[in-house]
Amino acid sequence: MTVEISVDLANIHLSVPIIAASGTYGYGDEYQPLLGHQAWGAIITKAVSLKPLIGNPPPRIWETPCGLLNSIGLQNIGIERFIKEKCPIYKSLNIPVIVNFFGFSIEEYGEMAKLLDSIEVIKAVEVNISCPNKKETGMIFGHDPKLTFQVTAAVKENTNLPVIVKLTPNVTDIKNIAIAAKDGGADILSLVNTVSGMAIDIESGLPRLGGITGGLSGPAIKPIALKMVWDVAEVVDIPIIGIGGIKEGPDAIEFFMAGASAVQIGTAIFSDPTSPLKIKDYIVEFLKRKKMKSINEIIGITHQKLKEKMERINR
Amino acid sequence: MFEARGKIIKNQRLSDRIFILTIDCEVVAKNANPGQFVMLSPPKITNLTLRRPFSLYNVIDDKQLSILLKVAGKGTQLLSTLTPEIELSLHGPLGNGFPLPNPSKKLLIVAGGVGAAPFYFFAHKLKNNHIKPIFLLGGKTKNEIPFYEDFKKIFDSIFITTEDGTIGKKGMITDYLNDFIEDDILIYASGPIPMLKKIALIAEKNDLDWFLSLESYMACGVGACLSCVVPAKNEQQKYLRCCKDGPIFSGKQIAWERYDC
Ligand SMILES: Cc1cc2nc3c(=O)[nH]c(=O)nc-3n(C[C@H](O)[C@H](O)[C@H](O)COP(=O)(O)OP(=O)(O)OC[C@H]3O[C@@H](n4cnc5c(N)ncnc54)[C@H](O)[C@@H]3O)c2cc1C
Ligand SMILES: Cc1cc2nc3c(=O)[nH]c(=O)nc-3n(C[C@H](O)[C@H](O)[C@H](O)COP(=O)(O)O)c2cc1C
Ligand code: FES
Repeated sequence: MTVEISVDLANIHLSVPIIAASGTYGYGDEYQPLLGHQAWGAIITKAVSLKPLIGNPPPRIWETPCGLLNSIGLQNIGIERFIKEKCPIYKSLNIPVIVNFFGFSIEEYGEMAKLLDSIEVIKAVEVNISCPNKKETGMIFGHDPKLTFQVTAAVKENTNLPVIVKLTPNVTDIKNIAIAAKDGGADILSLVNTVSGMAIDIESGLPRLGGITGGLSGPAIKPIALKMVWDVAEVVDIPIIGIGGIKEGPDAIEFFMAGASAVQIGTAIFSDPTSPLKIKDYIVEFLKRKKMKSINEIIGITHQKLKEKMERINR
Repeated sequence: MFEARGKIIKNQRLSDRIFILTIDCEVVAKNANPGQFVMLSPPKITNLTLRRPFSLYNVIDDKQLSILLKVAGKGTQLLSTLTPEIELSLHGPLGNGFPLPNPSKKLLIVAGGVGAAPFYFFAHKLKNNHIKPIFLLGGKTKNEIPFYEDFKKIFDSIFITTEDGTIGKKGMITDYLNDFIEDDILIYASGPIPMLKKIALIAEKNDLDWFLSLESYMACGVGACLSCVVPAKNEQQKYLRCCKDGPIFSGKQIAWERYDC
C-alpha cells in the first residue's frame, strides 16, 4: 500500500510535508554536500533584508537542556548579493525555495516583496515579522495585530507569490495576530519563531549571549509551539505550517494532528542532519500502521476527535 | 564532508580528564586534512541539543580517526565514557585545515593544552614535506598534557612548559616565546584565547606571519547558521565563521582587540 504524503499549500506543491526552517539551513548551499536536498519538501532561506546586516557580537548561541538560545541578530548578505550569488544556485534544485525576509518599516517590507516577486526561482515568501519597526515606535511588528495586518497587506500588494506570514510566540494572544495576518491577505501562516529567553554566566555575572537576550528553539519549546498551532487552527482556515522543537517523527505527527499541513525542522538538524529523512520515514510508517492513505487524514484530527469525545460525554 | 556512523575502536585514558578516542569511520578518515575537525553526537543522550566539535588528532590507515578529548562539560564527559563497539554519528571533515607552510621559512609550532591536538595529525604531513618545526607545548600541569610523550616521538625538537613545573620549564609557554623568535620565522598556534592573544602581540611586534586554530561555540559546523562567528579585521565582513572560513585563520584576519569571548 502506498501512502500519500505530498501536500499542496496555496500553489506550493510539497512532495514531502517537511521544510527546512529559516536560519538553520543557511541559504541552502551549505548543507548540500552533507545531505543533498532530497530530504526536504522545500527549503526556506536565512532571513534576507534590504541592506546587509552584520548581526550581533558573539557568543551567539548557548545550549540549554533540550534547547538552544541564539542571538544571531539577523546577519545576512542583503537582497542584492542574495539575488546575484544565491539565486543562481536554486535553478538546479528541483524543490521549491522559499525566501524568508524582513524589513524595518512597512515600506521596506513592501519593497522587499516587490524585489523578490521578479525572481523566477523563488516559489513563495515567508515574512518574518519578529523584528522591530525601527522607523516608528520600535515595536516588534508581530507583537501587534494592527502592524501585522499592515505588513502583510504591504507584502501582498507587491507580490503574486504565495505569502507565508511567520508568527512570533512572544505575544499575549496569538489568535488575534493570526487573524490579523489572515485579514491582511496571508495565504499561509507558519508558527512559531523562537521564544525569547536569556542565560547568565554566574561566574562573571554577565549574559551568556553577546546579544544579551536571544531566542529559544529546540525540543524545549515544542509544547508551547504545539499549543499555538492548536489555538490558531481554531480561528483561521488557511493552511498552517507548524514549527518548534520537532526532532523526531512523533513530534511532527503531533503538529499535523493539531492542525498543521506541513512542518519545519530547524534546530534538530544540528544534532542530526538526517532527521528530516527519518521523520519522513516515520510519517509513512505511521500512516501505514493506521491504515490511512494520505497525510490529509491526520491534519487537524485532534480537533475532530476531541469534538467527538465531547459529544459522546454530553450525550 | 560526510554524515556518517562511526564505531568506537579504542578509548585510552591518558590522565584524569584527557582521553584519546579512536573511531572507525572510513569516509571521514580518508578525506581528512590536518587542522580540520569533526562534529560528534554523544550517543544515548537526549537532552543535549548540539553535536560537539573536535580537531582531528590523527588518521590511521585512511580508515580510523582519533580525537584528543578533554573533559570540559556534559558532552565531553559522556564521550569519555564510551567503550569499544559503541556507535555514534558524526559529520566531517569540516573546516579548511592548515595551509602547508612555506618550506623556506623556519616553522615554530606553539600549542597550549589540548589545543595541541591538530598538530599531531599535521606532524605527519610536515614530515612528508621534509619540514622540521620546533614544537612548543604548554600546559597547566603534567596531567593536562599527558600526550607530550606522543609528540616527543614525532617532533625532534620539542620544548615543554607547565605552570607548576611538574614537567619542563616552569611558567607559561608564551613567557618563553621570545627566545625562539627569529627573523623570517613562521608561527602556527592552537590553544586558549589568552595564549593566542599574547602570540598576536608578539607576532605584530616582530612583523611575523602566523596561523592559528580557533574554537567557537558551533551549531551546524557547515557555515549555515552563523553561530560561530569571530571578529574579523576586514571591516567589510566584520565577522568570519569559525567553522567554514576557519577554524584555521591567519593571525592577521582576526580583530584581536574585539575578541572578548
Ligand atoms: C574547531 C574546534 C576544535 C576543537 N578541538 C578539540 C579537541 O581536539 N579536543 C578537545 O578536548 N576539545 C576540542 N574543542 C573544544 C570542544 O568542542 C569543547 O570542549 C566541547 O564542545 C565542550 O562540550 P561539553 O558538552 O563537554 O561542555 P559544555 O560546557 O557542557 O558545552 C555546552 C555547549 O558549549 C559548547 N562549548 C563549550 N566549550 C567549548 C569550546 N571550548 N569550544 C567550542 N564549543 C564549546 C559545547 O559544544 C556545547 O554546545 C574544539 C572546539 C572547536 C570549535
Ligand atoms: C540559529 C538560528 C537562526 C534562526 N534564524 C532565523 C531567521 O533568520 N528567520 C526566521 O524567521 N527564523 C529564524 N530562526 C527560527 C527558526 O526558523 C525556527 O522558527 C525556530 O528555531 C523553531 O524551530 P526549531 O525548534 O525546529 O528550531 C532561527 C533559529 C535558529 C536556531
Ligand atoms: S556553526 Fe553554523 S555557521 Fe559555523
